[in-house]
Amino acid sequence: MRLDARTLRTLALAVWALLFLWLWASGESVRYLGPRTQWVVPVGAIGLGLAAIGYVHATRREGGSALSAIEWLGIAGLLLPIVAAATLGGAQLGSLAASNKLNARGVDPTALARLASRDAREIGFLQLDAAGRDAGLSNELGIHPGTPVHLVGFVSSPPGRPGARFELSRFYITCCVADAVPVGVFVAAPDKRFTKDEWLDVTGTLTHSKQEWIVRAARVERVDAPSDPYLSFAA
Amino acid sequence: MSTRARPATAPVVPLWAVSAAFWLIVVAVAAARAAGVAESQVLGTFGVVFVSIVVEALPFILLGAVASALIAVFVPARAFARIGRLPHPLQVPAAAAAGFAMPVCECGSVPVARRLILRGLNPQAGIAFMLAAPVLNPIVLASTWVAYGAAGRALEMTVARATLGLAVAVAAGWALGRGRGADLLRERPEDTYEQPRERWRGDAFVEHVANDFLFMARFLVLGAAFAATLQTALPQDVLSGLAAAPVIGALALMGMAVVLSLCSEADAFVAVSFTAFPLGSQLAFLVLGPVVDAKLAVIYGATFRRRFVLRLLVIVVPIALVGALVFDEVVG
Repeated sequence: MRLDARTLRTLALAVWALLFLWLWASGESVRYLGPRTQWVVPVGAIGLGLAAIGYVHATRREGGSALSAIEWLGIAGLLLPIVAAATLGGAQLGSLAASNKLNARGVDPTALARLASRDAREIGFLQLDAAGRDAGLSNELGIHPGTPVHLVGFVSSPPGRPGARFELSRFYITCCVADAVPVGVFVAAPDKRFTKDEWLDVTGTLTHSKQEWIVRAARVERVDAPSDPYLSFAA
Repeated sequence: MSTRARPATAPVVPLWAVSAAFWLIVVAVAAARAAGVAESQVLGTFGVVFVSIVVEALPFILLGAVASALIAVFVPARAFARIGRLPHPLQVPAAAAAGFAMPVCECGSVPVARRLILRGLNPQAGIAFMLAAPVLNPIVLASTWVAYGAAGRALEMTVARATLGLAVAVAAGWALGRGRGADLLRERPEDTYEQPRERWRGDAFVEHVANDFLFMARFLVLGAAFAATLQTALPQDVLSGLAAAPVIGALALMGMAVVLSLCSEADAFVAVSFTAFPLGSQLAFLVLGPVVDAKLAVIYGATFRRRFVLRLLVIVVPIALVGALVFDEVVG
């Protein structure tokens, strides 16, 4: 039995429809997309599914035709993201991306403050980062020395020596992971040693130093990475 | 334009070969997972960014393919030829403005414009339409609006992209479309051949959708892989160093637009991630990318006679650059 161009094109459409369906059903799409663009997943699953079915029907009277070498390469290339998603299923951005990407200090501080105060139901990475540079925002958000905080994040910059402070970070995304911005907070945890990309659950109180808020940790626990590792500016 | 598969001699791929390739990939994926490849920061970062860009953009490609197929199948080309009856000075801006109503991306607009010119449309108007539609079409403007919404810049970026895109298309149309269509276009044997088509239009529509989608998606995958490589290997501090100078920053992002070759229906989602650059530079990226990029250069080369891409660059780069600088002065 041989597969012709029509069958291979149908398979390419169907495989992509299945990937979108899996992302939709499993909720794994949160590893790639922000809440603002989650709607593209059902659109992709339904649209590409219909396209695959429709294409089979529309070309039912077609004779078997050969696939050109260029189209072979094209269809093989189309499957690469699916292979990548299958291979790197649990992957997420970490310390490398945090060091490569422009951090929140590269974002317009006014815009950051507006975002921070808009989503200020609890004190998180974004609020602490923005408030560190803006005393007025600190007062507005109720952030003062001694304020208790609870943060879950990954170690983006480990302590140089045991007990030294380290940076705990989370990525904030707008549309997809490609636009992720790392936002970090320094944590002081005496007598503790952590390595890059470890996920930690930190409870402590705030202290102010220069132009930033620092968490003086009372309790630090190693935890598994959350299934939804990214926070959103658009929450 | 017809995207109908050309009848060929015989199928060439044995099922056993596809099965063997499938199982080879399954084994390789399982081995890679067992080896903990996902824990590699380099591979993990590349993979997550790569997949996220493709997953986000593919549905936009599909929507574009649907719109393109609607036009190809249900709108007769003579409808566009009505523009030819307008007074000559109005034809070019009118054709460019038609891009607002024509949801075709850059890959689809080239064969449409070529067919229109072949049928007698003023070549200047044809080129203006070809360059305007990928920037001005509703899906592109909607995706620009969505991408910049979170940053609170949706209105400014969408209006500026439409305005500058229109200016670029009109100027390039005027400059490059002088003369006869036959002098501009490369000849093809099928130009003189009208395909007999006694076929239900729904079938033709679906086939157009599938073929357009599969054609465009492969270029998106290439662009996403390149973007992911850049994000993995290139610290953005390097880019932000270039970004400090507005002119160099805008030129750098225009160069990146050419290399990335992203579809205009999804490029705003990538542009918005260049947070180190001023909005004007991002605007230059959004205006130049749909007009000329690496994949389009190949398509233009197959469609137009020599030096078209070079002449196009000479016209559009200065306009996009000046537009970006003015935008930064006014809005940034």
